[in-house]
Amino acid sequence: MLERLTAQTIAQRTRRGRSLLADAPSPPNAGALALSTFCVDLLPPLLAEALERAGRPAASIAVGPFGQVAQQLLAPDSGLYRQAPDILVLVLAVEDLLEPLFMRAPSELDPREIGALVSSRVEELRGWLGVALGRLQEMTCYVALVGPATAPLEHVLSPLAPERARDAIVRLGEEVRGLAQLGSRIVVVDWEWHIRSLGTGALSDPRLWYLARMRLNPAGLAALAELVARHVAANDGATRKVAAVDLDGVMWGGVVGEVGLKGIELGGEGVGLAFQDFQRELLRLRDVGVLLALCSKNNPADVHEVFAHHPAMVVRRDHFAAERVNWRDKATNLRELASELSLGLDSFVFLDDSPFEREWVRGALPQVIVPELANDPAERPGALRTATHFQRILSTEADRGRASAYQIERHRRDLAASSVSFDEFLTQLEQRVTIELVSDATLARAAQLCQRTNQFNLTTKRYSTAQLEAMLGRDDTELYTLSVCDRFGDSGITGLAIMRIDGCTAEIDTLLMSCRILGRHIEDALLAFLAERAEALGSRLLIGHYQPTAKNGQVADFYVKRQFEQLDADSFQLDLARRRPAMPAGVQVSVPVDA
Amino acid sequence: MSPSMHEQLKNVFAELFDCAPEDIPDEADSSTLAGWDSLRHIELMLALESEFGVRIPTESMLELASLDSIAEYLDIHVLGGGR
Repeated sequence: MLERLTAQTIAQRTRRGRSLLADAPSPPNAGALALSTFCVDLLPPLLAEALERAGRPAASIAVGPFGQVAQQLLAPDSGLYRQAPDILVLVLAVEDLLEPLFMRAPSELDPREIGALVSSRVEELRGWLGVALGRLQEMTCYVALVGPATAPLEHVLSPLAPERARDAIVRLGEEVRGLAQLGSRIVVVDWEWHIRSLGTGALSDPRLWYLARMRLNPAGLAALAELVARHVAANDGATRKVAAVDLDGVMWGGVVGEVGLKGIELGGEGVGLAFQDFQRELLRLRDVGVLLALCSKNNPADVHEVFAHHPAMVVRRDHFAAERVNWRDKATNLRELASELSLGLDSFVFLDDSPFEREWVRGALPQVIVPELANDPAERPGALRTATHFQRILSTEADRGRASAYQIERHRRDLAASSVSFDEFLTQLEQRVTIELVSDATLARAAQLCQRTNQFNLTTKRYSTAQLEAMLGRDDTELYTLSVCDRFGDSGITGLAIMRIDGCTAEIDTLLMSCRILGRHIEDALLAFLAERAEALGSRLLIGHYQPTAKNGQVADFYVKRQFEQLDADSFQLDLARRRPAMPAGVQVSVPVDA
Repeated sequence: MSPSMHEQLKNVFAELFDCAPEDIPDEADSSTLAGWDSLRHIELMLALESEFGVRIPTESMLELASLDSIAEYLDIHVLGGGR
């Protein structure tokens, strides 16, 4: 049974441990090294003190650089092998071992992937420990698997909900406990079990058991009541459906209208990471069917610029089912959001860092839940993760699809409302085309496009990876991939062109594009690029071919429409000295520097 | 800023840095005081929380890198504007 310690006791023990380590006799009688997936740098004095009290003092206690367990256990010149300790303390956090499970939204994870992850992580560990214990015959390894502090997703309550990944986490615990079977020099500390006493100890009282057969004291009963009530509410559908969020000070630090895109706090470190994690939590909510709505006092242009261009943004603009970014009062905006989404205000939770706005909305719209938001951004991701308003017993297929359904509807609405002309719409899409030389990294994808593309494929040559690789080695042939990025997302590599240069003639051997980027002038951007490139390489004539198949009828007149002259049944020619295909408006193109 | 706050702080520092309170200069900061590294800083913040019964937000933890700034912070947050 673990004792609940006061801060004073912990400080006393730390001081005692520090003096023990400072006065260590040399050479040390028994060294210890702690390796961990997270920072345990404050452990040595406490471990020194505890070992002393346990009658097994260890004079030297070191901590390895955290997050480098593999390097330390495997590299023969690592700190582990230089120190050669008797005691190796290996502290592993579930959140670190199963990182994808905790960092990604559940929708981005394949359940089989998680199962495989558990197996491979434990297999790795087994191998690493085998190496270390083989090299250091005097060493015993103490393994503790700690955490997780919360389930990967707390918005669903049922222990059977796949998003809680309970099976994977339990199996990891079992597998790590199973390491103890490898031999007497691996000792598994059953952390999860031992810390229970800290909880159950506070929630029970033996006197009440003997006097009244009560296994829970009043605190325990209050916890039970609270939990039962939450489950009842979630089961009865009291779950809130919309999270309406403010921007400045909530999604990022600072006021974008004042400090600009570059001045806001958002990124991979420190407070910026806390804001980023808050955004991740919003996506987790969206994943269980909670609609996100934007409610911010800002200039729309400032906000849209952050969504479009800030590299650290996790939430995209199209993740929101509706938005009100203006200078009107927030109660009015919330009313409008409710009517746009066809939901009652009693479906809303309003998240805002300003006490003024929270009070205003509480007063004006009592149906809306307005939780306090911690002043410290570091507290907020955890608070949102465990917020009870959004919890449900299980998330259904309909829950998971709800956000996307609203998103598609919103796009349609926006398009209808704002597209004055198609070209204007394309400009608003902020299309950016990236053309790159095919490299080893993209070779496989290029071959896949050759194999699979049927409709927009001028010559339908089914090149294999090996054939493309052979072409890469030729001086007279250039291979390009194309990808498109716009306000709604990144297409990935969805186009391919192969051009052969023969003196004053450049011949387009292959020109293909995936259907989902068609009709947006992307094909013209690619053709314009090829023409420019051909000219730069000294060619005057650009030759294209069309070989009909059962499926590529839509590109039969591709070259003719672009003023190429027909040479024979399947060949077309353009004299670049007379006319060069123009780069279409509304498309930004970035091309390889060395091309 | 109250002189007594500095005295109180020096006691906390002395315990953590294992020296006498008189050894802590008024102008001590993390760049000059020996042993005041990032890890010790975390310990110092937790010790201050426990000693003064405050909860220091993450961002302030990063900024409180001198005896003066800590005293000023505690004057505002513990004593409600100084005495």
